[in-house]
Amino acid sequence: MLALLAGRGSHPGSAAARLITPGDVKRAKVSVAQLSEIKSRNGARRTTTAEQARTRDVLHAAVEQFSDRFGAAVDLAFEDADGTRVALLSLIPRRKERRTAAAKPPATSTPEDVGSTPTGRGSFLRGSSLPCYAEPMDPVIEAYKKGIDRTLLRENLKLTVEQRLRNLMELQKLADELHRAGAGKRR
Amino acid sequence: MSVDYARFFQALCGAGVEFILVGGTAANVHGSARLTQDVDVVYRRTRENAARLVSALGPFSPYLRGAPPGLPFRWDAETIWNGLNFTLTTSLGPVDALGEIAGGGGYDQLLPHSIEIEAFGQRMRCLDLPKLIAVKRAAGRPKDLEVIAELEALAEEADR
Repeated sequence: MLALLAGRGSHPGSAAARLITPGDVKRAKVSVAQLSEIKSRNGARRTTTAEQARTRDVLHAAVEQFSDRFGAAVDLAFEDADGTRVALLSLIPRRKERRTAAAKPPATSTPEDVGSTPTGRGSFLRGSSLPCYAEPMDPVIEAYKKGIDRTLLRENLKLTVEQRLRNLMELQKLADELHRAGAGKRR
Repeated sequence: MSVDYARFFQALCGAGVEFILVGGTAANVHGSARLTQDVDVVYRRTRENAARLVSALGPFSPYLRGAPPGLPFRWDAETIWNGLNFTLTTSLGPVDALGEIAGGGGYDQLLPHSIEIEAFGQRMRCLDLPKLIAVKRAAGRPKDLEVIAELEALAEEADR
């Protein structure tokens, strides 16, 4: 990973460099740290609140997203160096491992293991037997989907377009009023 | 800041502006429950349409949003032609007049992916749900991830 990031400095315009940035690495580290904190806070407790479970899901998804992008960047950067590519891709913990041991050092895996994508959604490009991750955002989106209030959406879908826009205008006015009230309080 | 959608659509449609509703307002049209505080439209990049856009929004004091007051900003067809995307304040509310959007292109590219809607007595085009999702995905902004999730949920609900 460090080699990849170092190479990014020399070739900032490359596709691989655009796929993964030091900011991504930083965010992934924060997510892993937060996951570890949740895990240590919960200790032996088996139950978690819905909010904790959702936070954990989103953090797991963020780590998965980073791993997917890392995989895609490695795939692009080391297209002609199969040995390096396989070695780097083997650093990516597979989905199950990430869910159960996100904070542990990555488990080593064989090149055969690498052939299956962590999200199960990877597509195979350039005839390679190695994965290229086509939809790196999906784990995060799926995690967010769980928190969506579908009853609200169903109610909205019963309305006409104009009614939906009128509701939006009412919401905007309410937001304005709250904003003004908050600003007045701060003065 | 709120948007007076009725007068906004009346102004644009009345002047014959060729535009497609995109962004958060388009998401609301499709049933999103999220708050958006501006209205985004992609206008067709022709000189005639730029002139129509100028006459449509001209009476509503358009000015560059976030810019210090007093800049020599002129809302005319030449300004639109020399620029592309304009984030404006108007007396109707914040308006983004866009020549192109990331992942979607301009009006002509988006037109096949739009639907006709009717609201406030006006007929207009709005980006369809699959393209709206595709555009949000293409933008790749972290803040859009939750929006994409809701739009996909809406697509699932609409298919039920």
